[in-house]
Amino acid sequence: MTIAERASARPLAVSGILKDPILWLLVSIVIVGAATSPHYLSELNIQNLLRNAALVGLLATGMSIVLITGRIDLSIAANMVFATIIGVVVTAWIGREFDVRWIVRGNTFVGSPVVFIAVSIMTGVAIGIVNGIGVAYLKVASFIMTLVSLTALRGMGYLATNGAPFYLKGETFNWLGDAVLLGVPVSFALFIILVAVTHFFLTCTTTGGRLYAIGGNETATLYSGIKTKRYIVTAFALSGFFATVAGLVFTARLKSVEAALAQGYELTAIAIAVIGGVALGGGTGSLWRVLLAAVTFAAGLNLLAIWGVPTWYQNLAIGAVLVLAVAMARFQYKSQH
Amino acid sequence: MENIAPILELRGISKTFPGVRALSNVSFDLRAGEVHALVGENGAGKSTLLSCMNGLLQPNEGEILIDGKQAVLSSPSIAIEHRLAMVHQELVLCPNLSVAQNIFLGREPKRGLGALDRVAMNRKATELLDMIGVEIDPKRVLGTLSLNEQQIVEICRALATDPKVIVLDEPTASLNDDQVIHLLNVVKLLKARGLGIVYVSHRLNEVLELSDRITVLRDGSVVTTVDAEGMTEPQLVSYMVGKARAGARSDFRERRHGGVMLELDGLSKAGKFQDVSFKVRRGEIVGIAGLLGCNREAVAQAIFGATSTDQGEILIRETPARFRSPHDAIRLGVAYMPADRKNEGLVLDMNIADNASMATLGSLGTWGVLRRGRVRRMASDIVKLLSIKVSSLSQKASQLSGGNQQKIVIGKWIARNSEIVVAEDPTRGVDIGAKAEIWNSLQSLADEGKALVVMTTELQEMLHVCDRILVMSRGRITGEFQRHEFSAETITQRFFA
Repeated sequence: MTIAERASARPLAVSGILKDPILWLLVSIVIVGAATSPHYLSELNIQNLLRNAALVGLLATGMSIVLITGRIDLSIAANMVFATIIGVVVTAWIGREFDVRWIVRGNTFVGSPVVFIAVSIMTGVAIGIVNGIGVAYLKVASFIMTLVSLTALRGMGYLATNGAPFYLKGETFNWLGDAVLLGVPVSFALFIILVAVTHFFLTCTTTGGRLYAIGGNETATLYSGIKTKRYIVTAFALSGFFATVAGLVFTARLKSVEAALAQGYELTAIAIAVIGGVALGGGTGSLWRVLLAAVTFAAGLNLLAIWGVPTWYQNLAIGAVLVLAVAMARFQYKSQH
Repeated sequence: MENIAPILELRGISKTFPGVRALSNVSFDLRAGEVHALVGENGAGKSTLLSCMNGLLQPNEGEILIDGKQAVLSSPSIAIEHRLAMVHQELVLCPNLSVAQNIFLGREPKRGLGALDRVAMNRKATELLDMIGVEIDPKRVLGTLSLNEQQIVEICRALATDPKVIVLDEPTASLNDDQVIHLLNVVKLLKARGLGIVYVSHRLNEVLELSDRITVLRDGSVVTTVDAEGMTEPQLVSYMVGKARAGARSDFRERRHGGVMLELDGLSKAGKFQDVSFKVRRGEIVGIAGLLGCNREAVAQAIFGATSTDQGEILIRETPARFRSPHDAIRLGVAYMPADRKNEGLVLDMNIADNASMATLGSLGTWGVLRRGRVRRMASDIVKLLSIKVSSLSQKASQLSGGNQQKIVIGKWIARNSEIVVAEDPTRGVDIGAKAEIWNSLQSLADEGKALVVMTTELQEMLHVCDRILVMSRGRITGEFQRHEFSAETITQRFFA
């Protein structure tokens, strides 16, 4: 899809969405869910489902931005955990240094949420920038660069925590993790707002247009006088940002964080991005469909959980969905060309 | 000749794609030991017809007969079984493998237990290369070969399947004049060995020299099939373009030259070019001629800041300039039209408006928010100015013909109002009508006082439009000719200096 086509589809062309196969997949999952389980459409389950959708959707949004530039970011899941760990560690340190009476008792942490969130996000974005510099300026293949980051971040996460979990307490976390506004969990509302802003950024700003151009043909973009390297760094920084926001949402729900969490979530994010129509080769993709894909994905996984399918099979399902989505995207691309 | 039965015959072939009728009722036949050329403008249906011949596409109507027997070519491998071999225009080889490995890819000679028989493979490769009179070491890595040597390897690869029919799709498109002569000799050799050859080319002089018969396609139909003997280029052109557009061509225009816009002073880059110095004035079109491997494209890239240099200076409007990236060069008014427009000039999956505004996007927004109205207005101005044939501005660049694609690239820089234009092979793979239009647009830029540097593979085109031609050979400038001194012979002699 080109920028102009995306633009013409922007006023949420209802007919276009109705034709979207993902929507129909979602509808069928919900129908099957409602038919097989009385709990599926309960308020609690739907909220639970939306919280999950927000988490994986935030990761997938960051992943999509990087995929659009023709790169991949495998470090997001590690980054999301690591950034929040650093948030905790640094906030606790600041508390000690400045003698603020934040309580850190054992591994239980009650600190300033503002400092915690700010430090986490700065950490996540910084890691994204480092990835971006490695990819754009040092010309390390993004796959390798972010695989190295993934490993390093996991390792450093263990070092910073000794492998033990941190427990978090405080109103803000309760609110971010559990609160519901007008029937919608706060984290999901946050997800929608961020998707809306980022969608605008990608489709209606010059920077966004260039990210698509880089993914479509990097040389031609460079030869049009565009400083492609900076934009690649920007994409990775945004991916780091979204990873951290996902990490905050995740931490707020669990009320704890530890180094070993969220293993393999990067693959989930890739799967959702691809189901949402983001091309692995770069250059195309719309965040609205990624949002839809995230909800669909969460709805499907939720259904498997309700049926009592063990986690290992769920992982298998994620893998199968990823392969299927990539194959179908290829098929669709071929039939268009 | 008439009595010999065709080895390949296509009868009443039609092929439609959603919304487009690419071929209608095309008939074509080929005899053993014959070169049958297929000519037509881009979009005339040549590629579709070739794809039907080698099994990539299946026609909706019509039949294909091989040795008089009906055949269904459902895939390229089945076409090969029917001893039809195809040599693609774009090289489809693995640059990391050896010549012999490339020739026998998928058909490697084996010893017991499936082990590769390298000795046999290299020997057979040498035999094939000998057969067409080329000396290339089969053990060499393909990527180290020149483009025309690679082309010959591609032909050998086709020959390795022991074909009766060989289809050559624009084999000379990226070759220099002397390399073309070599390749034509190879084709003549194949013909003498009794192969039937389908030959597709935009270069009508070689078509006339080489072929026995010529089939002209226009808009998916056969205009005529004629004996090559007695045909002339203008006649062929009028068949190809129809009466209305025949004779279109751009003529040299006299212009006044202003101050020096671009100057290279002793520019050098190790292993690429040495001590390159020249000046280009306002309103001047300077051509750089040379053989493949003279590295003139590296000079172009240096002027555009896409490659670094070791020594010497580039001066823009008589001020020394330092380019760290194309961004810097573009800001000083340099534009670059790469020879490989699909991979370097356009984002094929993006639409026309977005492509045309690529170099000006920054100025089309307000605080970074894109003003889509402005982008489209600018793009539609360009489309009108250059009479680009598009169905809408939202059409993807990949859906345009080569000529129209090239015009988008030109338009991108017109929008930017770049004052120094470096154009590499601006008419590569473009049909005759569009060629004239592209040269007209480029000449108009010079008329407006812009400075142009052009380099084409076909010297003839530069002789037509340039004010001055420089010759490069092995990275050095070996000659300079003013317009009144132009002669293909003397210029070509400097190629080898």
